[in-house]
Amino acid sequence: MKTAPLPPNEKERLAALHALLILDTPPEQRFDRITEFAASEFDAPIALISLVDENRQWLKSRVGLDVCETSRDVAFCAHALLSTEPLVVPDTLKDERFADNPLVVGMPHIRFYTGAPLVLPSGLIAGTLCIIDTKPREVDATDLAILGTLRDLAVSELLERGQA
Amino acid sequence: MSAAGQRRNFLLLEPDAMVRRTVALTARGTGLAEIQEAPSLKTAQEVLRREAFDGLLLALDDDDQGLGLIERLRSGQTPSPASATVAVMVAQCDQTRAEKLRVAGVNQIILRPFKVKTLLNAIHGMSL
Repeated sequence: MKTAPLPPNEKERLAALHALLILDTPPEQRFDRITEFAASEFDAPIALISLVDENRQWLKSRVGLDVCETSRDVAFCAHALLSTEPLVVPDTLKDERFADNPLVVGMPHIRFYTGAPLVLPSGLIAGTLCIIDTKPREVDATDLAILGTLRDLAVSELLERGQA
Repeated sequence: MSAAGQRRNFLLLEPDAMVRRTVALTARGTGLAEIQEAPSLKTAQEVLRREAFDGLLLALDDDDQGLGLIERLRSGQTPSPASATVAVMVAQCDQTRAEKLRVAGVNQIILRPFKVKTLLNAIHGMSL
């Protein structure tokens, strides 16, 4: 497993994330609506709005997963912070970054991951809107465009609380 | 996008805000089409009266009230071409209803529940 390197603007990124005042807040329907829609649209058993904090990923909204956070070093979403483009992993077992990740070899047995970065107006990335499956999958350009739109809606909701 | 490279304009009558927004924003963002959103039949009637569309995507209730929009379109009572393509989204459709919709001038029937991708593919087909 390869732990994701820190983004070059990590300090500013964390400051922007904390300024949103969203970490450790209760679940909210406005976010749950987006993850539920994403899970349904993509027939994905898991859909998350994940915010990547200093040492953890914290889940503002989750479908199909019982935990509300994981350590950052095993988080797929930590890898998605490195680009504003979506991170697509069609088959985790064929990707050396993830093949022996505890979330792949153990519960929830992730085989497919696609995460659209939550890019704030400042250009800093707070986390991802992601869909996860326990089977390998492919996505096409239309799928990524739809996920991108849902990500934009999630960012709009994040900004309702603070301006990063 | 049309053959001439000009972005097509569609009217989307869909009460589900999440579906409506996602279709409209994705179609716009990918350059597929401009989508005018109508959350209600009343709004759709008003928009159809003042704007020209290349196609209509209409959510129909079981009572088919929205068929009046198609009647106005087909009879040339709107700024849109009377031959504009029309797709409808319905919760159920037997042969009798399908024939009723066909006679009313519906070109495509989409059954609920549908994916956003299905609607985008329909828009793509209507844009050719």
